[in-house]
Amino acid sequence: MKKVLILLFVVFNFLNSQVLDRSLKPQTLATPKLKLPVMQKAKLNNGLQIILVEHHELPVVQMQMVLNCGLLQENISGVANLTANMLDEGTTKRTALEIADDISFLGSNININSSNDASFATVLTIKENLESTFEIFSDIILHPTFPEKEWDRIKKQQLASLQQQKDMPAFVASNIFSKTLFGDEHPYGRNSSGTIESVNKITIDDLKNYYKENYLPNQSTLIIVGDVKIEEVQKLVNKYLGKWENGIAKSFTISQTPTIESTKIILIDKPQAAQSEIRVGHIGVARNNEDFFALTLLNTILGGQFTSRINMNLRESKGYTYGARSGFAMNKYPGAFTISAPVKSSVTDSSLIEIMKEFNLIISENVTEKELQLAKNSIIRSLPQGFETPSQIASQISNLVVNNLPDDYYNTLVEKYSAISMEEILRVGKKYLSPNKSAIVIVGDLPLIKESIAKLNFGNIIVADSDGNKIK
Amino acid sequence: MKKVVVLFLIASQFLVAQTKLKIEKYVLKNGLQVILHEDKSVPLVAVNVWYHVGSAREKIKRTGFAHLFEHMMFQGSQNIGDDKHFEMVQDAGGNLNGSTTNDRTNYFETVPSQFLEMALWLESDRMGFLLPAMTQAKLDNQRDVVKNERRQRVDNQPYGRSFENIQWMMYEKNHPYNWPVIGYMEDLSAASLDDVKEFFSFYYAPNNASLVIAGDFDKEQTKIWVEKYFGGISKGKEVEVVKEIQAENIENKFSTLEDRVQLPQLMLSFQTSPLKSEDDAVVDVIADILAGGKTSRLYKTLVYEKQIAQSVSAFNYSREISGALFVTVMGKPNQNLNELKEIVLSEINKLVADGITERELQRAKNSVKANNIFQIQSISGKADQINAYNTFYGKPNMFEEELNKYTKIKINEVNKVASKYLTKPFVALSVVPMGKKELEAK
Repeated sequence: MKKVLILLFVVFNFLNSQVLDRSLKPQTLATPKLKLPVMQKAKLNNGLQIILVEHHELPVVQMQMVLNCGLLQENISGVANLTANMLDEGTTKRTALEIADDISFLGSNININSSNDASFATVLTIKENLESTFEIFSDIILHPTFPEKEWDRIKKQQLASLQQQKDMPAFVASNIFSKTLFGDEHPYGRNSSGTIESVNKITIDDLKNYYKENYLPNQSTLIIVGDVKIEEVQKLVNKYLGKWENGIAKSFTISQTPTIESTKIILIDKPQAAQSEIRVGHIGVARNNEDFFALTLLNTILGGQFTSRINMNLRESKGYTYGARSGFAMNKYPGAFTISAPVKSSVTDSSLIEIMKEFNLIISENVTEKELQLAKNSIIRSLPQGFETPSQIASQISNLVVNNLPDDYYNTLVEKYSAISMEEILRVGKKYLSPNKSAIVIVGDLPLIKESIAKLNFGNIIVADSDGNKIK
Repeated sequence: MKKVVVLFLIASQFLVAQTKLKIEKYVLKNGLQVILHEDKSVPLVAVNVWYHVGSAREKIKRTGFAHLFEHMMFQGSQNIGDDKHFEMVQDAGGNLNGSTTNDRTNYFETVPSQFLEMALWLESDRMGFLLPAMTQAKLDNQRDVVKNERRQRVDNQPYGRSFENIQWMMYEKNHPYNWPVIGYMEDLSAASLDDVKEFFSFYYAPNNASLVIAGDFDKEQTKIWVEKYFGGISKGKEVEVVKEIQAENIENKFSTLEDRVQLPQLMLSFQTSPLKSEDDAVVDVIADILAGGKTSRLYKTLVYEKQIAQSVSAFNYSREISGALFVTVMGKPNQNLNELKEIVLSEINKLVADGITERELQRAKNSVKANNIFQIQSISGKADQINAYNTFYGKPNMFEEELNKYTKIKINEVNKVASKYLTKPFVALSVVPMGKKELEAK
């Protein structure tokens, strides 16, 4: 009996390997329907918007408060994030240590930070601790006291971490790149942590003022996703956020951005660096740009994912880097378009040649039909991945809030991306990208790389220090 | 106070119930372990393969090989063209990656459900038929990529070399954890095509792997596909079982690295016990009490009160062969590291002598419980955790058991375990700014 069995297995395996033609890519089944989350909305008397998505898979609740203030509203560089940092350093009810102890005792997480256009307070808790966590969260947002003693500590910590940032070539490169594009005055040109000089200038009153002028319920939206029903949410928000006083948001002005007439190269020395950090690009477009979809596809093909041209060229073909990419920072106002790569020092010039080649090519020739289809597929088919966990769903809704997008936005994506042609990609490339009016920033071992970069004749070379100040 | 305690009791019972996942495991004729977990909440499926091989199995002079090999697994196989693996997964709207540690290598992709068969086809082709597509040119290219990865993550990173330096102090030359996962430049240069072939035939066989499929799929259909694509791959040689070799520090050791950094950093390491030791959960709790959050003992003393440190962290690095607890303190500018070391040691002694409070223990347990739930929110998180439990413990569905390890910890166990490991000799690595050797710990 045993023998027969063994024989049968052999036959089975034999058949199996005969029948299966491994060179054939399996057929794909029909695309299943993705049910987009249903948003339930409410508004408190003080103007706070509430958006709830019920998600009962696990006993978890994710919240994200979107505040309509960021670096745009700063009077001194660093104020937005330092204000956010100080919120959990003391309230009318709790000291800094009590806040930290109460939150960690619940096993919950609360984080607050500021970006260019908005600030975000994110909260993650298990359902059982929702009310206790919500109470601490509201205490932090509504009743911070900005104690002098804690400010003294936070300020010193910020100054030390700014000093540390100078050790990181990737950070220095990005920072000086933004500064070069936007100048010192424009908020988008700033380091979100401030500078040593600016942080030294900031007083506790600057933070209190930023808080008073900007942390307003009528300028904010609370997104809640998780194992909770609308009735519970209504009870919680009325009880804990109902007394939050509204106010009038202050207006702000954006300074003019300098334009780059011809490509300039800024070199920053990092003695004995193993790699050169390269940034290439210029100011791009705002999020509300009419060509958003074509530009997103263009970037996906150029440097937006692993199989993009820049990464395949610099990494998979040449072996110059561990990874190279490109991206548009699309904010309320036009942000940067950046191509970035850390490359081996000895091939810094060759890498720059390849980067500029790809940059020029994307605005001079049509992409291929195959490339365009790959980009469309990868964007359209990855849609469900953005709606799996409560935190992902909250981010997707946050994107609608920050960028003023309609509720049915995600339902329209397939159609909008599908409609873009190769010619459209070339048109937007020509319209918004200008390789010969770029800033090139390189942080690396200058004695090793400077001469070979000068030989390329890509633009005027300026040598600067790690703060971006020109060295004579 | 009483009310709070009652609330938590209810919470903990509830949590236990929630971490019971429905998991099915079976083994193919060729030894491949297959584990299925259905979760139909979103039309996605996670495919996650672990090979039980990491840098610990490397030969001396061939360090970094397990990881370099991981790169080669993305370079095409007999029926998948060069770089087509990436292209097909991205065309499906999926995401993918792989990673290598001392103990294992994993490969994973999350794709829309309708692409499950394609993902199985891709994974099976490189499991069974990698070598026919291997060329010297591909190896040379990925060798350059990996060297760049090392430059980016280690050599061009402030404090980037501290971890490999402290490992040299902790482990003898022939201990499998002596060398870094990323390897040394000269060994990467020396890796040959024959090394690739040998490594593949030793470790990349179905009998040294486990395949987890988690998400939205049809179970019966999936089992047929698994047999179709993986069933025909031949079984490899028996792979030697990993032996625990817990390292010991005979005496305190000090070493100093001068680096282009602004702030001085102190790293202390104590030898503990391997991953599967029963003390492992308690060491996790000790790490949390020492440096988890603002109210932890070291943070409170060094960062909050004395303000002589910029940050502090403690980490129970319990690996398969040997375990260690690391304490890392970033000093303020010009801070003397010896002073930091003395304070860390005195806090540890206090913990050993006086024990911990009920609230500290409960806080640590609550955070473990919450994180236990947070980590199973995504199918890719679940799939990887299932594979970790299966590879190291042989028990894919260990979520509840793992949680219980923490809930049952008693207060007097914590200082007992602390005294067992943290009063023994340690190693200390100082990283100081160039020319500031006087700041070192000794």
